[in-house]
Amino acid sequence: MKRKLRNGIREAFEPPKSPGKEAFLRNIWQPTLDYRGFLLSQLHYIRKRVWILSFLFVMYSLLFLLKQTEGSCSYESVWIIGAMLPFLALTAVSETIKSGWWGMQELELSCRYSLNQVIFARLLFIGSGNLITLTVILVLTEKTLSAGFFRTGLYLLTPYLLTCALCLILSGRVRGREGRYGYAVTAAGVSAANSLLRYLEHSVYQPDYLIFWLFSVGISAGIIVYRLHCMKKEMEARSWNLYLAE
Amino acid sequence: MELVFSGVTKKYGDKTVCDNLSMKMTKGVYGLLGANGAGKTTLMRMLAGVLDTTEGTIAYDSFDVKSEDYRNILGYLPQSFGYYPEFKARDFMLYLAALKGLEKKEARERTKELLALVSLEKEARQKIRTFSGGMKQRLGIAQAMLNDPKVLILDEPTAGLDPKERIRFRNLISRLGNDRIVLLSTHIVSDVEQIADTILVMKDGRFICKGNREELAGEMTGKVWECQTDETEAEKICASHSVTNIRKEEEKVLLRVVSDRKPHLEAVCVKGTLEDLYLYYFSSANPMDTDML
Repeated sequence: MKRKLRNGIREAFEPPKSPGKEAFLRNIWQPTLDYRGFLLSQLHYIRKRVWILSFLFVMYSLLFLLKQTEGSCSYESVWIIGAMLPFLALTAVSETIKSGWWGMQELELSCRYSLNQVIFARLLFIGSGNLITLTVILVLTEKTLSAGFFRTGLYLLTPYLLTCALCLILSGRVRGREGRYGYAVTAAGVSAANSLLRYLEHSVYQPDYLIFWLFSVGISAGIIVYRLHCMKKEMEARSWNLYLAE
Repeated sequence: MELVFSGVTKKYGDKTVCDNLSMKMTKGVYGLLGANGAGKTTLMRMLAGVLDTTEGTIAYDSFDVKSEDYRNILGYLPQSFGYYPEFKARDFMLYLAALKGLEKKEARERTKELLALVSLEKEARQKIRTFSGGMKQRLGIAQAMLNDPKVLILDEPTAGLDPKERIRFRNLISRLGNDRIVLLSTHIVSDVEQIADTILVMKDGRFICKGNREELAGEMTGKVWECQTDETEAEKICASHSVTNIRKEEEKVLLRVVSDRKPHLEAVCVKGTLEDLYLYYFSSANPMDTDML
């Protein structure tokens, strides 16, 4: 409704011209780095551990696949690899929202390419990296199962997305570096829960339980979208650094 | 070049931190003086566009402080800032240069130039976590100047600097104030006294006085006294008045007192300073403030 109203007002009234805008712009320093250049510059500031961890997971999945003998096919690969993925999610979330942990958000907010653009850049690169990692792992894992891409994808995505969702919920409640411990506990908890699924292997990974996996992925994805939306709003309202000591 | 704020108010629930502040700033150095909790940091954050106002407007040459154009010409040093643990001084500068929109070559040149300006060129490749408080502060000042800002907002810039560094910093700020707006906040009176063209004294979220050093010192006419007494009498005066200085001279004690009335029969009225003014406004509210003079 608000957006409709805004668009309606925009269509009905022509905005007044800014007085002296051109003279102002002529007199001020203009950035020499365009948005694309800024985005690329941010790739350099994503810590190497994020990429190393992704690489190690892919390597582990590959080794696991090679170790599997034909006919030994079971859901072992799903719960083992699934139990590792919360840690991939943990590095992704913690790298994306590290500004708050390290007290950089106020400086980043005051820059031309502001905090929300920095976070977007991180999400773009880390998200793409994780997507590639997950796809490779999915392709490798699927070869040991007869469950098909869709079901295998759900089994692997659930622990990953659930960890992301829980960490993002936590990020809204625990500010600063104390959150790190909470995130680590969350990732370990999801990983442990996923490992316990080995005892339910003959039921929970069966097609009858597909709705449970779909529901888990859907809810987790919904929470992630909602939390990212909240974070964007908080940054726009410039109110999220209020926990800093006055 | 004008930074204008009008009716700026910030409330957190029922608490009003900044109360209806208005001012027009042009080129020059502005010193914001006040005790802890006076609302200086909140005002600085609002002027830097990192915190929304509850009421009122802030604009630079009629452009809103939340716009990208404003951030292009802004240099900001927050009261406290962090850094990513793996960062060396040079990385920190290059990272913020990218955020400020400086192309790589330009960023490298500016980084080298500014690190030399704040005497950190030898430490450029050292991890920031190995830095002392003063070194971190100098690095913070350097990053604020990366984009050659037209508006430079420095929140407690001299905190942690040693006397030599403070003198260097003051000289630097005096030079920078020639062609830009520099606003610095502090509770160290001597910092603003020597470099600020205009001094704003803030208390309980309001400006209680504005003006240059002479104008503000003039407000203390008839309120600053000096007297020489014995120790017993001196103790009595200290207990009942705000005393800015005590000096023992042989048998007697020389006191400098800030008071609306003559504190002692032999007291002589003397010219006031900014320190006297600070004590006059802040001592009764919070005795701790005198420790910071």
